Amino acid sequence: MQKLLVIAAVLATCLVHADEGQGPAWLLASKQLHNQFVVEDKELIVEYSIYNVGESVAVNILLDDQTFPSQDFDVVRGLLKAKWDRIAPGTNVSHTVILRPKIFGFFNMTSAFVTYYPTEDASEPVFAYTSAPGEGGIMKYREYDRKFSPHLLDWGAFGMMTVPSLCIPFMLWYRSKSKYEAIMRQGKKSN
Amino acid sequence: MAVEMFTSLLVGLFILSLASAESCLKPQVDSQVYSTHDAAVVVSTALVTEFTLKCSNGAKNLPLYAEINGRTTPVTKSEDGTKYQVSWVGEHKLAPRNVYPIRVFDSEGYQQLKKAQRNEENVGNVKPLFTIELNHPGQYRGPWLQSEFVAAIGAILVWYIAYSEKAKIHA
Repeated sequence: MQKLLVIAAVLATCLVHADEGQGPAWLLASKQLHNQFVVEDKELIVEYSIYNVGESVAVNILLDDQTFPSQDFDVVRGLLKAKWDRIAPGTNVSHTVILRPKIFGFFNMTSAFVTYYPTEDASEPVFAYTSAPGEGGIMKYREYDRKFSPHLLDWGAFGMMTVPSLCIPFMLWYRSKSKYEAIMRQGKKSN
Repeated sequence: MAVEMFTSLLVGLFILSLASAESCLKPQVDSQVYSTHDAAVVVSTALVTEFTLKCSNGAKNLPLYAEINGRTTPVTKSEDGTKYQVSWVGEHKLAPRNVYPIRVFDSEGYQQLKKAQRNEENVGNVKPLFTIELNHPGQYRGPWLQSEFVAAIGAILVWYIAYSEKAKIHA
């Protein structure tokens, strides 16, 4: 009876001590593009990875990316404001958003915000930033198309243009050939 | 006396833990999926699903976990907790054309999944809360043949026919 109580007390103190010995959660966040080219009206993959390199569980993690204004980017799928309840120490979460740029030209991709509580009983949240992919250009769709499309229409037009210069000599030759062959045949018959 | 108190305390704690780990009964899922397909622009494949969840017992803001293309991950929530998202991003060759089942687990199912992973059992036997299917059509890498190549072959063919006819006449 007493033994049980003692064990419970020891367990409780162990838990408290374990809590005291732990440092807070420490999150590192990255924001990364998975694109070879960023092109107007084409897919843009943005991946956010959050690593907890601290010693405690991070609680109520909120990722907020305000760098893709809705007048410049369409969200194809994904949440630009994302939340996780907990990220355990030594683990990571990743989050992906697929966008479609509506604009072209120079664009500066800056950081997203991350807020989290570094311990279970923390009263003040910690503010952090993700890494920033940096400055880059969004290629104009027509420019991209000119460089990389198969240009079927252009080749088709080129083919059509070569038709007269190929067909007219061919027709002339074919007509004289058939005329000549007809004469040859007649000559053979008369012989 | 003390033992009785202790056991009642334990029972109480157990009930409390059960109540906090609320589960979703009869989940009604409304999901939207997307996978990237333009390999000329993107260097990785992304598989994304967003879904809303309605439970008959009114459970909300649940901690959910998902298994997608062999990766286990906590499910992301929207700020207000009404929408959920599961995403996967990786090399094109790791996500070929396929129908990908996205298996979503509640915390109880997740514990079972982790246990199965630890014991190296078949994780496919762990029953998920529900499954969302994502049909990924594969990546479009542009046409099989370059149009320049087709044009060059056409030009060589025309030249060959003309040249062989000319050779016949000369012979």
